Amino acid sequence: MKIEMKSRKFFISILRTVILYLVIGIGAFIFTLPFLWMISTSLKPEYDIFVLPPKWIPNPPLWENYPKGWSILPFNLFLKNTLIIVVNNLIGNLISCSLVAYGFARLRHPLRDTLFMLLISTMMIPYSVTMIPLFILYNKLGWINTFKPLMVPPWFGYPFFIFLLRQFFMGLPKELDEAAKIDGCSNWRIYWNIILPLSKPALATVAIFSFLGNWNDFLGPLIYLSSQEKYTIAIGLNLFRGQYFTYMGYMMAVSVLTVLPVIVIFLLAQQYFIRGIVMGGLKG
Amino acid sequence: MVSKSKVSQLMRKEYRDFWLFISPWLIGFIAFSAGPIVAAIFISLTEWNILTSPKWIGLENFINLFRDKVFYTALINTAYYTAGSVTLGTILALIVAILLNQHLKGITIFRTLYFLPSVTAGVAVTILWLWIYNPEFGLANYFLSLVGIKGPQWLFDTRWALPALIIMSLWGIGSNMMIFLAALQNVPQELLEAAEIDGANIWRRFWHITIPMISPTIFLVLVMSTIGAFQTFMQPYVMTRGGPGNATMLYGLYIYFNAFQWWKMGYASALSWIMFIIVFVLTLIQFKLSKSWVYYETSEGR
Amino acid sequence: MLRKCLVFVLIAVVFTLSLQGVLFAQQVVTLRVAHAWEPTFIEVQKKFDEEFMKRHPNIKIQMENYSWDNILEKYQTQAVAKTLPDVFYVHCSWGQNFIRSGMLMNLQSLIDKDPSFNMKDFFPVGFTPFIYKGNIYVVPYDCGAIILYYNVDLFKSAGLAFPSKSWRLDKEFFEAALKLTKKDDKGNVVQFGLDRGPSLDYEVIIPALKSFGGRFINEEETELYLTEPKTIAAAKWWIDLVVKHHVAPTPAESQGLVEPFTFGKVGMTFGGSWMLERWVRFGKFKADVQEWPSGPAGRFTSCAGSGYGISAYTKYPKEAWLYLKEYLSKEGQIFMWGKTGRGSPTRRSAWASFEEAWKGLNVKAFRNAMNYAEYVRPISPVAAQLNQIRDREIQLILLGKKTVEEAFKTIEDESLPIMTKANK
Repeated sequence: MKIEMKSRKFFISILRTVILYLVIGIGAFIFTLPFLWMISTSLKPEYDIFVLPPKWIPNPPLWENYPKGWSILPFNLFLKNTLIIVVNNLIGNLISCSLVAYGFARLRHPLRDTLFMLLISTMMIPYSVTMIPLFILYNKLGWINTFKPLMVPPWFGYPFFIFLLRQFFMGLPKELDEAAKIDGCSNWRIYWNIILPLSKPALATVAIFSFLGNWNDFLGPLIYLSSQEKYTIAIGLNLFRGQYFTYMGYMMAVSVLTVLPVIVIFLLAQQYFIRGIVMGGLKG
Repeated sequence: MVSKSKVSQLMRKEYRDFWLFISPWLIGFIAFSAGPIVAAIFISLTEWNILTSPKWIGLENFINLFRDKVFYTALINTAYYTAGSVTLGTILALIVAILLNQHLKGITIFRTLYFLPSVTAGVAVTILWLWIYNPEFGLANYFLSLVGIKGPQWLFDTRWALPALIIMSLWGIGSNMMIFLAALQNVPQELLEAAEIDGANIWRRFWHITIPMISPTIFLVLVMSTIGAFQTFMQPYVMTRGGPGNATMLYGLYIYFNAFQWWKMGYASALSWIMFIIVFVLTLIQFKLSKSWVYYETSEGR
Repeated sequence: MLRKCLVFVLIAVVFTLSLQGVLFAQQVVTLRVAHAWEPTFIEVQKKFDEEFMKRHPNIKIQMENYSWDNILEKYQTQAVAKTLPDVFYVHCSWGQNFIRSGMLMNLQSLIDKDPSFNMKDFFPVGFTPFIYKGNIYVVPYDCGAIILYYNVDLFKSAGLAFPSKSWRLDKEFFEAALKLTKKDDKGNVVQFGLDRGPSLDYEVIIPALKSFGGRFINEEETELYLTEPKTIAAAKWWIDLVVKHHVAPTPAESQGLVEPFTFGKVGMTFGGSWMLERWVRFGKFKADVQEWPSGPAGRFTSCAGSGYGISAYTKYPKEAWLYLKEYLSKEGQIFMWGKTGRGSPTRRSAWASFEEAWKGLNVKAFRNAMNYAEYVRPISPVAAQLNQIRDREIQLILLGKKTVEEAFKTIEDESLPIMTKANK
């Protein structure tokens, strides 16, 4: 009787795993479709790109879209510019947003909730309206056609990341803080030695979003940069759109190449998605 | 018994630390946001075609706004779109996050695949969806025909255009899925196992342990999705330009048209402030409601 | 003593002369010039700028190139902060807006004072959107008539005679459209006779309506004639090509066929001279052009183009005018647009190089059309909004959701208040 139950449980767990893989797999395939289409298009001559029904496997594959697309515009330069901005913004965001989020999550002050609502409110104003006054401000500072409007603000926080980290911090048990306070730790120590190490998944998420957001950021560089040597990858890609038609093959090829670093960062950040809190680790 | 002065000294220290910690944002706000926001308020009280000086017209923009048929159309469309995409998107993101939180081999690869649409060139995603929705040759109607249904005209049908956009928005759940995944990491495994031993089934464990523990994150996703959905304009701009008729004229798109294509920056600004008030009130309601269902592990609560 | 004086005078003279040289040595001026070229055309632009800088070593040209979708947003932000480039590209649809807002320098006096500019060399119609109160603010570089393009291979395989000047819309054109429409066994159309005419978009609406005796808009852009019976009948003729005879694609079918003429799915279409590069050089079929077939009310066509202007507050007006003059001179136009065949030049003297670039094709049809072509409309500052209203309503007609009468009435009701406010 026991053996039958054991093998039945075994069978159910195998079935469960298979069904899980199936469901996840089908969903993953649907979600990957646009990316597959991108790769497929990047290897096609323009004539085959827009046939319906779509030809998924290019025959023969047009590899030259890759070197040609990369060199017809100075993408090496664009890549360098984008990396400078993205790495700077990544560090700036992580530092400033975690500091501000800690303030809103763990420290008390009568004005705290009002200021937090103010922070959230700034995200509700559509960019269209503040774009031009902001441009005038940066122009008065002499920052137009430099990287400064893109590289300085991340050091002053970014509301979405602050909100994200604040929620996450507020989900960590306060007992840890209190234990540390009894031991005489300052707020800074708590932030640095307790909260941050436990927030690796959230910080990794902010890192991914910051990298991704700045890598693909189009509107900022468009408005603030005028000379081609300063352009980023996003602007470069958009130059493939002519007035009457788009260089689809080149655009997709370069898009595929520039997506690879993002995927690498994503995979690297995955290792921080580990289970953080172990209840047994808490002091009594 | 701690002396009063000692308590107030501790409080003052905490106040000081509060200001220190949030100073990066506060300084940034005063330097880069406050000015443009005041300017944007001023602009909404003018008639401005961007190229000439703004002309003061007081509240005329707002009066015209309330008489504008397209304003109401855009508002209703956007409310419908937001309700649909936020509820469906949040639920789907949560389900996928839980599915991908398993210890299966190759789970990292699957997570990457679900996240891919968020990193894929917007152009590729839009073109693909235009094809999927094409009434004659598209995949959507093809699959429907396999089960004997004659598919609708999708983006060319005033009743199906918005639902089509909502379905399309579901492809962007990768980001919210990541946020939920991060939050799920902090649900203590021991708690779930203890509950399982106590006889709680999957549903009860999910509803009474997992959800409360990630409720701050659910709240974040709901608020951010609402704010984002209200400002959507890229998809309708590229796919339908607001048509057919004004069926997909979303509020964000109407603001964009007025601001940058029709040279009516003053009016666009007024539209933006009305939208701001609506979203602000919605968010305030969400915050007040959160006190009853969001569970923070801080002793003073929310 | 005399010798010392002479030496002193000599040194003084040499010193003064050299000082003069230093003082009047030409300072290098950096001129910012903005364009909206695609990657392949940037090379041609760079060559022109290099040659220019060789001719004028004291001027450095800083090229700013933006993608066409976004250049307007770029200009808008720059205009507000007064950081516009010195010389910049202006499309016909932005012309009046930029001019009336004071963004552009009035070039009339410069043109009048400079006989080498040679106004007589230009096709006058090219200046239409760039003139305000009798003054020229932008010099156009191309002005292309919008005429008939046809797929020679498809005509041959259908056994049809090629379009000739004597073609009539309601006779030979219509019959050709019918014969060129092919269906597959499922009843789906795989090849269309015509593309673009029934859309009544801003490039084709004037000839489409006028050919059948209809009217669209008046010159001051304060009146619309869309509810006149002849106009409605004209519009119906074109709409029926989609709705009744199905020789042109519906909106849904159009969406499924990206660039149908380019990829050989359409027998005939209408386009400007700028489409030659895409349709003739890139298309895998043989293409040719012919003047827009005449209708019962005569032969009409429209034309459109772009130009370059100078910022009203440029610090270097002399250098900017010099660049503009040379860029749009006969040699400049031949180099940039004639030889490359990218656009039909606005100078008659440069036209021959354009025809030479497209030898073997009936490009003189473009030249003939310039004799009667009317500029596209609307061009007033509210043009974008008017076009959006019109495109929206026409799409509803093509989707079968509104009749022509209803839709045109809506267009008039919504457009007239906007037009009166802008052009009173």
